[in-house]
Amino acid sequence: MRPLLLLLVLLAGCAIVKPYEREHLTDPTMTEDAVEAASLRKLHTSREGAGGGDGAPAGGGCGCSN
Amino acid sequence: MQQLIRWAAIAALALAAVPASAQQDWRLQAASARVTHFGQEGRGVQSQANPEVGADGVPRGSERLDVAQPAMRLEVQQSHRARHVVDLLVDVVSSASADALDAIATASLWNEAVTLGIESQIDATENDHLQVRYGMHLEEPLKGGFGGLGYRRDFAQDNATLDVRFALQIDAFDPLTIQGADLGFVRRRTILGSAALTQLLSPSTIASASYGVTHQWGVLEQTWNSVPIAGSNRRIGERFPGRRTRHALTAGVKHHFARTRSTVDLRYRFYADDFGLRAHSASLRAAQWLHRMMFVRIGYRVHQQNGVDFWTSGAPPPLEILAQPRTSDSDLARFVAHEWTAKLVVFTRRELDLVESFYLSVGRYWRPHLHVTMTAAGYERRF
Repeated sequence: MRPLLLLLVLLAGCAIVKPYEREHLTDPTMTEDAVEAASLRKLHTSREGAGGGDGAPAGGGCGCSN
Repeated sequence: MQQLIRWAAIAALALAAVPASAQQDWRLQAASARVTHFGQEGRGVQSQANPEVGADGVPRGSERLDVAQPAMRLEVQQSHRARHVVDLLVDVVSSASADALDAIATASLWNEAVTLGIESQIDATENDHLQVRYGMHLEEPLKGGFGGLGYRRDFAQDNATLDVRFALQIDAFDPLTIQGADLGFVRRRTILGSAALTQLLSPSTIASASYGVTHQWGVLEQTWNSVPIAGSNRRIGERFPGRRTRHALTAGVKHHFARTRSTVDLRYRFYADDFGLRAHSASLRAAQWLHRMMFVRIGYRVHQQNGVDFWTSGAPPPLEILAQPRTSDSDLARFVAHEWTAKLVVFTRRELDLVESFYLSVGRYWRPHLHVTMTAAGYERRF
């Protein structure tokens, strides 16, 4: 938790990006494909022992002990 | 099951509270679908299927399987204050969960697993958002449900976002031992907590960081995995401690280069748990527009883990280790895994109020004794 709080303090000094300056942030190459991410996460949690711990449901299903 | 009912009641109350003060305007905001095929080839010490002794003298059984995975996501706007996201993921797995009964039957030739998740978000104020998340998972021999609450706060004119989540998951299953004995219904419970921070660093750069913890208790092992007994052809079932706490830290940065119309996405994840497993994962993805209506994205990921403390390729005779934790699961061993992916996205519509795209994606995941080939096709429409 401490690194996260430290990061929060550091980032608080960042310049404000105005809504009209965010064209590049909404570029399709910048957005996450949630369905693809879920599919790859399932592969990683099934085939690696390091699943979970990221707020998404862990355990359950094929590869559930990982 | 009582907890699940409680979560469902909370979700229902939260959703019921929205329409009372908001004008209803149900409409579909986005729909996406994807079909993926995973072809896995490889061998693992825990598998009893046609074991072969390798150059290192360790017997490894087949881990060959195919997975067809249809998935879809719907994003629905209920009112100007409430939105819902429905995720459905189905796995049709060949030869999965093979158990002792499969020696005389083909009941597990194909197994289907379904995961349904719904996330509802209610805007309490312009900057405060409440989330309710619930869903279920069904497959032979497991049934599970999960429910959770979240809170998101936008800071500094939406330049920073803090997202905090908590969830509870309960799995109930009816396993068979590797000798075919039915031990009756058993349970596994999981509680999850996470905090994520996203920050705009510039008009073309986003950074993110998160921490999450997961605590599980109950029957945590996969009851069909076996452990070879050293110096004999016999095997015993794997055994895990009754509790496991996992921690994960992630950090990432994404930047769009306007001049070249390229995007780079760098991520790192550190994982540690009290089974003694430590892991580092890093990935780099780069996307490049080839045309106003088409872009390509390539990615590489590397994952290194040290394996759980009680991993073994050959356990001592059973009487000495009957109560000791043990596993030969190749997924919990020490290894380095690599993965590359490539994706071509083609837009058929790219207008202000309608974006429609198709994509094709291929990839390969490999580590010692195992590799997975991925092929996927997808469609997305945003209104």
